[in-house]
Amino acid sequence: MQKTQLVSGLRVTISAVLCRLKIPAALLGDLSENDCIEVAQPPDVAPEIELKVNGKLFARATLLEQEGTRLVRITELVSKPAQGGFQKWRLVKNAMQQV
Amino acid sequence: MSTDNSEKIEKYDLWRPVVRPERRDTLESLHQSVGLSWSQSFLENFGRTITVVCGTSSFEPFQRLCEAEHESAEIAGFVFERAQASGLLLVSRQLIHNLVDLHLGGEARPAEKEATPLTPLETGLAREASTALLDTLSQSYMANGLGQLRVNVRGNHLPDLGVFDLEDYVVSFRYTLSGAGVAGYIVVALSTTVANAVASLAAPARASAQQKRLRSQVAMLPVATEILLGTWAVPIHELTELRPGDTFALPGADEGVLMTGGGRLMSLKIDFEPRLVKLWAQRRFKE
Repeated sequence: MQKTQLVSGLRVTISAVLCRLKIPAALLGDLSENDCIEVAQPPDVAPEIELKVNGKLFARATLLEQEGTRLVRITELVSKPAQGGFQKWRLVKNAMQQV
Repeated sequence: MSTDNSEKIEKYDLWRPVVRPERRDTLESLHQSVGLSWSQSFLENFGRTITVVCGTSSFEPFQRLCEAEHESAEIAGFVFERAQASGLLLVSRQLIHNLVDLHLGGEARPAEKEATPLTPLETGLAREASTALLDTLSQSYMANGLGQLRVNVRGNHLPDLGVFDLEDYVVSFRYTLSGAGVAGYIVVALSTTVANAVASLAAPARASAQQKRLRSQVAMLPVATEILLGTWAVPIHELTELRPGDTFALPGADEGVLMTGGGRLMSLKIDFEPRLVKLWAQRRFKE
């Protein structure tokens, strides 16, 4: 099996994020069953969501509903990675032989 | 000796009432918690984080308050049903405009140079906003043994209301608001007899008043959360083939998760309506 096949067979986790909210700590602590948070949406527009791979934004999409099934339609692939948050790292090959 | 730069020395009024320190602490603590309650009700009503902080308190003749608050505002005068005392709530013109904007589903607009008169609809909403603030205030006063508030007069200019005489001393609390583009302030002024009506704090409670205030402020700190509709694993080659216009199904018809700090906090049921999304809290995760 070629290396490219191996890599392309790896699985990554996609997450669909509807929105981000800033909620006071006290309210989060008190949140209990059947409490309702209402989030304003522009009228006559399908809700927009973000698709993230391993926590990094890679696409924007709209949310649709068809016969009770929730569908996601990609509207834009985000080529520019999310700002900041990367850790520095280095690669040491055959580290055991250098000891 | 020159007196040009010296501070103005004021005559002490012999009839000036005295508010004892422990009563003053109680009143201040009570009004700090009112600010917190208003912040919470703004969040519940508008879904926005608007922080209300009781910035200053003062004890001065009503005339001074009239001089400081000479601009038109939404004012309600009230009496306490149980205590022999009266008070007023003043909401600044700018804040009223901002609250009306939020009630109408818009964004809070910055102040205009010239005062724009409110339309009849906006006037109704302004009255409603003032009433909502009064309700919260009333609940706090009731919890502290002052009884319910009864609004007996409304107006736009302090001296016209007749709640206090100009020489009456009043205890006033000034709240500033921040967040969600909202500007302006709220003033609560009370007759000094209110100070005698509130139950005084016990000594240990006084010592912890500062801590309570700090805890209240920490409790209002905003926490970043995400509403997650679902997660699933895909091979990298499928990911690289995705293009705009591609459509795929999401697992779970109306379920979501409230995430904070990378962890799951609560499961949600999600209803999509024309102008809003409703997130119904379901089960709290133990992890």
